[in-house]
Amino acid sequence: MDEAAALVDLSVAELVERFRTTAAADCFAELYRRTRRRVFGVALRLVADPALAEEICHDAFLRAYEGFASLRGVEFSAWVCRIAENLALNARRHRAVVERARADLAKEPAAPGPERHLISRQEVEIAGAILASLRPEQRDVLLLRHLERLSHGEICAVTGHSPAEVRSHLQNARRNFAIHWRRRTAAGVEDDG
Amino acid sequence: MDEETFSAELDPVLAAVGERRAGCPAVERLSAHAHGELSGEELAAVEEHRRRCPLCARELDLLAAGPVPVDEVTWKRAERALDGRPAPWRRAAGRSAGRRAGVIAAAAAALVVGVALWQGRQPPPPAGPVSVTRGSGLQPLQPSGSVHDVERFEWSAPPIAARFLVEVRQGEEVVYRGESTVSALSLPREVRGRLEAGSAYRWRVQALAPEGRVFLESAWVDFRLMP
Repeated sequence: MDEAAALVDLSVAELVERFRTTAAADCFAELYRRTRRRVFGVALRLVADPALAEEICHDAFLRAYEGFASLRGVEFSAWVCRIAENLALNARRHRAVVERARADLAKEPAAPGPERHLISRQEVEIAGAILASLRPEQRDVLLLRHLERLSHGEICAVTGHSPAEVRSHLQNARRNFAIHWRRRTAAGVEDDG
Repeated sequence: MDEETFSAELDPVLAAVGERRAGCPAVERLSAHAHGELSGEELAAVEEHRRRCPLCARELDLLAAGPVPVDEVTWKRAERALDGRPAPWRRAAGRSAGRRAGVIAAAAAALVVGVALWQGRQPPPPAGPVSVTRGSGLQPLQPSGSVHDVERFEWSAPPIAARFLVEVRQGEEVVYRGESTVSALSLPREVRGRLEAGSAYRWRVQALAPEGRVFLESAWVDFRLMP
């Protein structure tokens, strides 16, 4: 029987066992072919960016190939998805830092002095608390729009909301966040004084 | 409140929230929570953090939602791109099938060498993994040897690496340093424009653990931009 045809007939569990015992790369190639769409979907859920999801998907399989010996007692695609999840979460967090740096670079150079406002740790905690107090649908669209820089269409795709719902949640979220922010930071200044 | 007014006043605040994740659980811990692997104090700590931190709450919601059902158009595009990437299992699978396709492969290799000689160029280096620091598990994939262009650097790495640092040198001079969270890094256009055809360069990649420590380093890999 043709070897390639024989691989197609094997289950994922059988392919894993064969790759473990023979290290035949075409077994891994077949595993890759069968599971990569799911892994791509996992990454896409977390980063909402097809190009980055593709990077993460490829990277997850490269790491799975290198670290195959550590696969024990878990289904193959679940294992690779888990690698992709961790990569995607790291990428999300890293992206926040890069976006901030990019935004800072795009601005006019700030004049040194008291007028350049640096956000304190206390203010970050206040902002985090306000976000946590928002209704989940408002919090999500606010973060997607103003932190992750998604378009309205992309937010609809990610959240499943209609365009009108996205507009409404965003409007309410901005208003509520701003009201609470001004109240809390003004109170903070008075307390300090 | 309109978007412009909000952005001018409060985007930097939200960006600072997104950037300063010092108190957040490591991604591995969040992932373990999402998969129901935490218990006792660990579980309670993440749950408590989730109530206070909207970013982690959002990440946990996304993890719980599972994979996106990928539509055909998006998938076809991604599939084409994935098929174009170098992968060790693809090259090795090609070699393992070599007995069956030996004659064809030999003929193709002869043709490649023949074309290269006819063009007055050196044949490309043999495909395959580039040497790495022994036992490191950090393996550069491309570029290596003579190349027409350097758009991106790719390597394979162990699952525990959180970030990577890529360094390119010409002799001892550092030409470029870049950072990536995945096993690939696109070379910025302005740097590509500075690489000189015919000159020899070398690159290496370092893997960083989640806490930021370099724990693996590949060997230097030589490449030369063909004129």
